[in-house]
Amino acid sequence: MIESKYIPLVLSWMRGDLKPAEKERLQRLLDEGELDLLDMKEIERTARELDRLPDAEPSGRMSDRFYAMLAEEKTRMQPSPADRLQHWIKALRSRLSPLRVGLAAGIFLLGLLAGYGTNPLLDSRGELQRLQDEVAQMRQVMMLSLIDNGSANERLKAVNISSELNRPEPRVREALIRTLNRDPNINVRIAAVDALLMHASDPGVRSALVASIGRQESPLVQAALADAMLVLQEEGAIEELRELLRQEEMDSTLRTKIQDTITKLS
Amino acid sequence: MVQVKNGDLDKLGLLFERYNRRLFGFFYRLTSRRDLSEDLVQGVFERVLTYRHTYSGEGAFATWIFQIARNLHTDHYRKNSRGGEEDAYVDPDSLSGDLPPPDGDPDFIGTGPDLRLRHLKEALGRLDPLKRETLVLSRYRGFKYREIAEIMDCSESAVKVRIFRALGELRDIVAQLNHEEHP
Repeated sequence: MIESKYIPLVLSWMRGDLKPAEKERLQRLLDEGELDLLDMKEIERTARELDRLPDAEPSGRMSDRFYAMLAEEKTRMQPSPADRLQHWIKALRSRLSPLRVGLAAGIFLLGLLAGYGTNPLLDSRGELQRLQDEVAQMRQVMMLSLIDNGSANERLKAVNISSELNRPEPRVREALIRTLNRDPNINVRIAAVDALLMHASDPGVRSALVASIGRQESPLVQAALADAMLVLQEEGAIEELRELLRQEEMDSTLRTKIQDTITKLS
Repeated sequence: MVQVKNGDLDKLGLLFERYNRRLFGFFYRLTSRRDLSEDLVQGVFERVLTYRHTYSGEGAFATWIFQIARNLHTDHYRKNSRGGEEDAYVDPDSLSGDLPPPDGDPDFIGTGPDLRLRHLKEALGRLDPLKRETLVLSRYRGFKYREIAEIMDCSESAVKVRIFRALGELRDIVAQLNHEEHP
């Protein structure tokens, strides 16, 4: 057995990064019989073979479980509206003094008068509308760039941004429909169902939601779509839902839910 | 991780994307079970969330998260030992399926490369957990001796001795398994 004191030297030899002085020392130890070259080569061969053992890949389920846990933790961390109001009042009390309030009100009034004197009110409204349009435009661009991101978290953000858009462009709706049908992450797909519901006044979005029922394999997404159909009272979905029921391997809870949805829509 | 500690939980998604495969590979090498390895990765991130306030920011994040991974694996191992519930599951991949072809090594002729690699995998499972963990961190997860010492809470020279001794034991176990099948 190779003595512990020689192990760092032998490991350096195995990695092939011996310095000239170390090479000489190793040679000397081999010559003196302190180290056995055959023994060293066998161990080196074992190390090389270890590198050839195949690696395994995790399934998509692992990622889904992680993001579900993260979403749950984020919901848990969000303070209730009552807590937020209480916190806001507390912060306001600690910051405001009568002198500060008076000063702020005075500056505000002066600004208001000066602004009104230099710009007619109508122009200000036009300016405000222009700014709002620009912000909406920026949000749409951000949403479209994030929706194709490799990270499910970023794509989830993109879907959430789309929910804040009042009048999204057709390409935003198309991106959401594409996400609903093709995104590999179930949470992102479910979020896309909710986002599309907000734009369901568009007949194209309604028919895309209906058509998507038959394309989904995840019971969670199928259940979310069934709920959406109830909200929209979309009778056109009955046939697609009946088609789902023909699947033999369907979970019994989901089957009951789909049957219930069909009854309510009929 | 500092941002996660300060409440920006979205950043944990980034850390997951960066580390989940490395952690899965670490656990898979130790357990040879896909389902258990996935559960343990989930367990690591649950602990990261629970103990995020204890992250000091000193040292590399990789060593911190692998310390958590190691502790989790140790807990799992102890629990199984106490209950006497050894993993009876045999991963089909461990048998042959996706084993790589040999490099033309003449020593493989007659015994078969798949068989030798299978013996090697079995031998890895027979090492004591401490040696197995050290070897896996060194050979598969790309850590330097100094980083492994930090993860294992020992000296760098202890890591080197442990790796070398583990390789020696592997060689002996593989030879014994080979002898048992081809006396």
